[in-house]
Amino acid sequence: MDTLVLFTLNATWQIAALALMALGLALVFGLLRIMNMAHGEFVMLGAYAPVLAAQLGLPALAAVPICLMMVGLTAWLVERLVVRHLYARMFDSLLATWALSILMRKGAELVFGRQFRNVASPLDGVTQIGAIGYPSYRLAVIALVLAGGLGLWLWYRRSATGLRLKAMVDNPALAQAVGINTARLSAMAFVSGCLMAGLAGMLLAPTLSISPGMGLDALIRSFFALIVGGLGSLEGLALGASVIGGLQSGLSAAFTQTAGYLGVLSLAILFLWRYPDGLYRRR
Amino acid sequence: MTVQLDKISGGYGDTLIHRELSLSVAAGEVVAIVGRNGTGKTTLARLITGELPLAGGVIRLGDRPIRPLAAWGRARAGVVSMPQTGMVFDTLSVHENLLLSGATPAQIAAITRHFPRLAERMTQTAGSMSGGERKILGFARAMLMPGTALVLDEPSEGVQPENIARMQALIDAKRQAGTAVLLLEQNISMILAVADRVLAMDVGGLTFALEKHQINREAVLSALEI
Repeated sequence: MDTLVLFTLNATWQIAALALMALGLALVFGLLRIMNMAHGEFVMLGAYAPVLAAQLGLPALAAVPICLMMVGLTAWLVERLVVRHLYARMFDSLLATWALSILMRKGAELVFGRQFRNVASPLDGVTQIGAIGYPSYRLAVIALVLAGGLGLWLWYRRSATGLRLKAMVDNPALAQAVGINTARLSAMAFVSGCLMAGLAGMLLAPTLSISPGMGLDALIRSFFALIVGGLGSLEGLALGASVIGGLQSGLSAAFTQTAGYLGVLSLAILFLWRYPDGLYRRR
Repeated sequence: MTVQLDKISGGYGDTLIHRELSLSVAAGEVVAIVGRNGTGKTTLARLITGELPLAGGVIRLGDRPIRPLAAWGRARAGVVSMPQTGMVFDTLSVHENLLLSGATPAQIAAITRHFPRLAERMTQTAGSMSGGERKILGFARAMLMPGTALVLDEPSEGVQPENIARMQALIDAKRQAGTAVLLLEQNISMILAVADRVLAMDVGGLTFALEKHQINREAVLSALEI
């Protein structure tokens, strides 16, 4: 019984962490048809926010404004200088953001150094669930991901901005004809997607080992989740994260960590090969 | 408000479809442009709305030059348009399509009284409707938008006669309200019903104009056959 509870908690944690990490990538691809290869580097940048906060001797919550400023400013610059010119050019934008990811990684090595770092969890208690003690921080992140995901989903379906975004995705020319400033909306969408990536990095920082090269792993895992779930929708993201996260924690619990990675990789390849549309097909 | 095109040129990339074309539509006037397919009517509409960039010339809405404005800016400045294709958001519901005009619920309810078909299909996605119904929806959206100029590219294509009659009534109401209406059409009865002036278009530009008293079936047909 306890093993089952622990497994469920671990699987839920894996799924929530993966969904959080992949959200920005899914947003940017779904709204702008840009595969942001620098997604992982925005996660990395966000993960350094609590490192900086700790170094400066600031309270843990100071990581939030640091993250928003650092990631937001970088994303805004990147949109203005690079991405803006490459909307509707999927392959060009992929190449450009790939180059950008290398630049950001090397930049981070210069600024933060190459060594691995860890940050303390801002919520270092254990919550008792039956006979099991589970890290409170993880439970808080799970709750935040659930609430945030549901909120975002409702906002996209119900709000005026959500409607304008849907209109832009559907028919950009007509969106302009009804007075939507698509250039500004696209920029907002890109910066928001990068901020999501940064906030994911910040929230997951206490559970990761932080280094300039950590983005690659974040990108690949996010990409797997999106491939399995179906690119470009929140429903697909939730589904993909559940399958990938669930499979990885299942195989890891039953066999070894390596078996978990191998299973996830095989599944992603199978989907790319046989079901490139993923489980949740867009209308 | 008056729409004035002063020697505008433009087309697709380096291929100019129109060279130094001039025309003006007065406030409260409906000008119909007729011509065979491929003479550049849709290109003209796109140059006015800003979907295509101008290679030269000036467009004024009233006294204001609108060439520097992007398509969204021209729409907000008052140039409302209904494109020939892609006139609705296919994945959005009928209601969402109408909402994007910026109209109030009361205005939306009022327009759907003209087109009961839309009222029945409010929650259906626009892409699941027939071609004629999509035209009606695109037309209704354009009618709801506040504007001082209106560019309609073949609104009647595939639409049933009773709904074309309703469209004509709504275009007439826009004229009464002082809107400058540019109508690109092939449907002769619609042109006869609403046009104050008819301009014939052929490859290379406008060929002749028919004033109100000259507009009749034979004259319009001859313009279509050039």
